[in-house]
Amino acid sequence: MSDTLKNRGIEAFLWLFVLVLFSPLLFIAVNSLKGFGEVMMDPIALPSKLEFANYTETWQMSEYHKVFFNTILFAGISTLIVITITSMAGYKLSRMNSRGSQVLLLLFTIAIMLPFPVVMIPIAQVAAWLDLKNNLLLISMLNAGFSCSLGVLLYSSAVKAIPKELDECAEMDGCYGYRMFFQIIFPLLKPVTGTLVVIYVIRYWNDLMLPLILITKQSLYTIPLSQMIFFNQFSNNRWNLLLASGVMAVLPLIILYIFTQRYIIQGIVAGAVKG
Amino acid sequence: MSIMTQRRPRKALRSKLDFVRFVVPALFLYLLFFIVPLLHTIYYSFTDWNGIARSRHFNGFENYIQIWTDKLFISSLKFTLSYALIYTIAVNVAALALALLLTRSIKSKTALRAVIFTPFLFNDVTVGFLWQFLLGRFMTGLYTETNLSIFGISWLSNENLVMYSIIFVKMWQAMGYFMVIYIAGLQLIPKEPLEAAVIDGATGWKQITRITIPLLFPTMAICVFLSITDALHMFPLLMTLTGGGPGHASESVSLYIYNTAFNNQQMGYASALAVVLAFIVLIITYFQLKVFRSKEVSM
Repeated sequence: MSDTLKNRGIEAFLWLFVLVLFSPLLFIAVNSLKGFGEVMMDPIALPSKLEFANYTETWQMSEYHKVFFNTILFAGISTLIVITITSMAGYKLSRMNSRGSQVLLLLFTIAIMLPFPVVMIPIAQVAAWLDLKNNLLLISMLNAGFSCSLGVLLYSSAVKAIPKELDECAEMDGCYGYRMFFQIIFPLLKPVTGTLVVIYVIRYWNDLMLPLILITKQSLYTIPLSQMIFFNQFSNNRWNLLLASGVMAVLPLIILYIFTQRYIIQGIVAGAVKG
Repeated sequence: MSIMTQRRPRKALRSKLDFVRFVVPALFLYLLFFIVPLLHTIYYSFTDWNGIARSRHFNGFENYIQIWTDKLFISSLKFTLSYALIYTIAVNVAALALALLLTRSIKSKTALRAVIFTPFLFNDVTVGFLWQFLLGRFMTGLYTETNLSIFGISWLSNENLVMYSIIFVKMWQAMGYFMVIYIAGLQLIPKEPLEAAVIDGATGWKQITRITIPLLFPTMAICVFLSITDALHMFPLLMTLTGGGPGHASESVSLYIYNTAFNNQQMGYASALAVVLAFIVLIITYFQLKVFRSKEVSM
């Protein structure tokens, strides 16, 4: 009896905690509907008149539909490439199980530990040589290669659980190479694939640094980059627009999260524990 | 017999071909876009390149010598290390506490977990400027309205407070992430030791410190590792939250490197800074792995 009472108390406390923690988001939403003067003069009052114009103006100025589409493209293509190349490489490196494959796996882990600034300057160089600045498809390729470590490691350890005899059986039936891998092995790796898709999509969706260095054309901006540019333009004067753009940046994620939260949390946890 | 000898070379050839087909795509992109840039950073760090000029001169260890007398670098290193230390302790304590509370039999625990996790999905740039607004203008508004002194503090423009404000914002964003990892870890702990302890008369706090936490050690190792790495790498958040200010009070090493490279065009010097940062990160990572490995064995 006292235990359930205690749990009730804890529950109430936690909801209060959540309320305090998330009330700021509410203030943001309220302020994003105010005129410019009101945000500046009286940030805690309710709006005297709802200014939906903040949103339409922000949408037009940042070309939000394009930015949103670009982000989907960038995150989507990068994830597709990274899943394809890392599953194949992880599979083969795990099956080879030789000295050479272990050295290669070690080589792949280097990138996990080092911070981005370590490669930041030359990446801009390499991108300029290969003429891939302002090309979303090629930047996605760079992105995938640059961030493939986690995928290779997780796939290579997951493949160990799949018996080698399966490969041999398939080969005896005349099923080799890519066909064998994508029809027989890859479907068995579904749990890891799910984990990695969650981790990579979130990471790419929110990535600022690569787009900041490699994208200069406004028509190719992604959400974080567009937010950054907007911030630099308006942080001194037009906070009402800036707040509206902030809401527009997080809202799609919140909506997506409401429907997929179980998978997202599972994926994140699995990725952290195995990585 | 003759069939066997015929098949063997074919098999060897196929395994070579398979290596090319399966490993080379990832390896090629990784080498081109990570390893080659990494080697270039090391090369640039021995030059005086400014990023624009075609010519760059080899200047030996000059950049590396300059680093140790660079006051801005030293202060950014101090900021980064103390930030990493305090952040790691604070976020892990908070996340573990939440995880312990949220593994009790509470009705709405799934909803609570999901809500607390949410800010982890937001991008750093947006989180940065939303909190700049909240801790700046919004606080000032609250102060003029209520006159409570806690709202009168300039959280982001006071040199001594700015680091704690950043830690708070980062915790707001990432606490839920570590919480779900801890919850997963708690669920893996076998029930028997805890039941035995209860029979032996261990109560609440003792159960946690003597039984749960030692058993949770592997999970803790992961969370500490992730939070330290994250803290040492941090900077997109700073770009919109404080811009490294006031003055240079909240400039992390990564942000300092970025500014040196892209605002001051000192690519050679920035590369040397990046190499030093890499070494520091690797040394810290090495010691962490060592400490956690030895603890795990002793258990």
